[in-house]
Amino acid sequence: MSNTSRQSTLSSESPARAGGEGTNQQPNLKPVQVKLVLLGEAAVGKSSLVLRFVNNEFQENKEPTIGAAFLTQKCRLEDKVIKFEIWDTAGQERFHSLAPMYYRNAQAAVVVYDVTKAASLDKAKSWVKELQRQANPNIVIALAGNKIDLVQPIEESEDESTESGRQVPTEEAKAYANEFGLLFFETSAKKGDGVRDVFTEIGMNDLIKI
Amino acid sequence: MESTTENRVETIPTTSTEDKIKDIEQDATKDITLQSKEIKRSSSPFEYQKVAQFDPLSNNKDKQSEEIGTNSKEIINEKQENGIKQDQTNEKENTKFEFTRSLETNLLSSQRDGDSSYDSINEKQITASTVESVVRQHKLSRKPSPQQDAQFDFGKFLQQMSNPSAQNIARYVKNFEKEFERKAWTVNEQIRIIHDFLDFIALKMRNCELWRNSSDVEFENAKEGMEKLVMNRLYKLTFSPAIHGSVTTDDRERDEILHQKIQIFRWVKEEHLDIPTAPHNEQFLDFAKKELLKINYFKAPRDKLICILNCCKVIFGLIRHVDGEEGADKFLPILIFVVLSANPEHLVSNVQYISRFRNPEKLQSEAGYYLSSLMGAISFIENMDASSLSITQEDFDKNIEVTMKELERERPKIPENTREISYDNVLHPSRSAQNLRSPILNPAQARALFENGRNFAQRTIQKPLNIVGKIFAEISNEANETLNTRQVNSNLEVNSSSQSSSRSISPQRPPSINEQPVRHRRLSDSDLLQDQGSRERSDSVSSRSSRASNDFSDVQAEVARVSEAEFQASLAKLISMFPDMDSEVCESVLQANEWRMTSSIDQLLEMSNPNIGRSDFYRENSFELNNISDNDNNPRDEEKNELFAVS
Repeated sequence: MSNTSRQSTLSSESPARAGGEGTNQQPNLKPVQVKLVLLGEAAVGKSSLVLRFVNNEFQENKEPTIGAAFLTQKCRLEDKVIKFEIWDTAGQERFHSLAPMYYRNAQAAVVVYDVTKAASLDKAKSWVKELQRQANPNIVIALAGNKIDLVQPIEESEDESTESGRQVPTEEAKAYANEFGLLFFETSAKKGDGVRDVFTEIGMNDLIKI
Repeated sequence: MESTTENRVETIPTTSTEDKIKDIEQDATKDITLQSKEIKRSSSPFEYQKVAQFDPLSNNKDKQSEEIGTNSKEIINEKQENGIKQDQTNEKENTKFEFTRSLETNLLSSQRDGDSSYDSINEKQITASTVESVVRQHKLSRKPSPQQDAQFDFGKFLQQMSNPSAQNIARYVKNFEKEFERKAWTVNEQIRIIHDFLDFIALKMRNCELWRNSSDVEFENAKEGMEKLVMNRLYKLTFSPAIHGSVTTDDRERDEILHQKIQIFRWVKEEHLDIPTAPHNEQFLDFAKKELLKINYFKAPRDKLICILNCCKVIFGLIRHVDGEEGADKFLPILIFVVLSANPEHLVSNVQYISRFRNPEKLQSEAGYYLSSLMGAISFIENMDASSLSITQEDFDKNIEVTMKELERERPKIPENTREISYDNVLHPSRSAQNLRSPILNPAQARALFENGRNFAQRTIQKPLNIVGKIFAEISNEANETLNTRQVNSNLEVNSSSQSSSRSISPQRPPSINEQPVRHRRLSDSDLLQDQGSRERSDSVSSRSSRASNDFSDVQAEVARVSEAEFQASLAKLISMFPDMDSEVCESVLQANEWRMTSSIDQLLEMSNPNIGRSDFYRENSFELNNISDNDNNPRDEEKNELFAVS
């Protein structure tokens, strides 16, 4: 069992911002349930990303789990507790038409691509388009470029394009994300880089109602 | 980390031996009432054995019984007689259906007021209040883990309902049922009415003395029990395939189309869905398939849903077994493959029934996810064509063609005129003109079918040919399931009316009856009732039960034989699934898990896979699986429920 002992609360920096929540400052806030759907081509690491997130976080009373296609994770943010219910989807093209059954009523979506596969970003873009057209209009969408551990981490001073194996430059994806109003992250499910940020920022988003 | 210890009872020395005996006594009475019912109803010793063996309460008690040994055996024997006698009495007395009364008499036999025959028989039996206390002890004596508490206990709920203070609640339920049956509601009305009632009754229950002070967990159990109780009893009006008469949904058509389409696609193999194959795939898949097929054994939405979750859980077992990364990418194709190879009857109806009538709160989160996945799998199959699979168009066409020919050959030759009997003919004579005489799909129709899986404009051209047989089967199932006077009456009506209507079209008996020997036998069971006439019914029932008591020892011997065979079969399967494991290890795991395959596999998976941190998902939750596999004895709860539907 990996890391369950590592108690961590997301962004524990300032407990000061409690005003918006009225008097609710006791530690056991009622968790806000957030349905989060994971989309992205097969094998970009959707499942690993979530497993990394879930296994890294501390959670008392882990709830019954049948398998890793559906996972839950509670996180304490500054002034609220969020319980993510994470719905994984099958990324193969042949299952594309089933996606609406999964993203129906989702408040958040993480669209994952693989930074070493340009085609996976195209696929991610088509998911974003579909979500923005058909999903819950207030859905918070995060774009996550996964597998940055595969592109050799080169000193910051060097140009990104020299990273071996990378097919999707950070700037390009970021520009796209800005244009379409998405949260943007690069992550390594393998090493854990950036994983928590994805969920923290989604949780902090104003659209995730308390 | 907790593993599969939920059912280990031996760790609790908190109760004295006397208490244990009391417990066993308690269980024994209950078991026996169940058992004698079972004997009457079914001549299969296997089913009977299952009831005895897999009762969750008695399961928990098995170990204690062993400890106490002969004592408990004596008690059991004694109670066996009592149980049967009591049954006879019940049957004689309660010729008309009465909800509360049967509650009291049949469930855990709390004492009934002023009834001497009961007094004599129930001397040792326990009054409602002691039932309560025994149950409490029982609870205490189990391992006090929260998971244990969360385990659903329908028996306990029924006990609570048998408590006099729950009489009001029982009356509400009974009245509701009557009202519900009075009118043919549309499905949307049904959904609203049932959920409204369940909300209403939950409030009433909370205010009832019995539950006023119970913990949330306990009350949850009662709510779940109520849903199950109500749905078990309204099943015949809400589950599309069980409804006689017209329905306001297209469930049955979709069922039929899906079923036929899967038949046409039965050549699909793992590689067509890019499922990695491994040596033990087959056993796991087979196991998953069996779990899914159990869906038709149960009436309550909750239980049906659990069958689906179990199936999914086994699939994850397979994924973990074959290679590491789990997730929807791996899961969904296997789920689809399992559905294809299981081809359960009424799958669409089942899924719809669950989504309509299961407590919506329970359809969120995990259960919701897996139900959605199954809906996704169904939708995938409904729309499946060459482009959905990893196969060339050429091979695809060839496979379809070959399968169509096979199917044609396999179909029994049926005289032309019986083909004209179709469900629609019987129910909607005006529509029969659309019913082209082509119940057997030809390849062209098949093509159309899978190209337009959801286009129901097509549905009328491919009516299933044995639909009348299905009607009969349904009737006989119903008849088999219930001895309830009212229901038997209605069955007789339907039975004779459908017979006469089919006769009016064709003098021949539908052929499919011969294809279903089991059902046929059951049908004759109901014929027996029919022959005896309704006024003699109670006598016939009691004579059957006395026959049953004579057969009891034979049955027991048979049970022992069958159980041994079953154990060996399970063991062989385990050994083949886990070739790396010592066969003795498999055996002891199987024994330790009280012969339950699900939990044994759980444990063996764990043992074979110690390094995967994730397996703790599996381990932690094995209780769910155990819990469910307790339900292996499919009609057990139904049985209990019927206990008080009967009489």
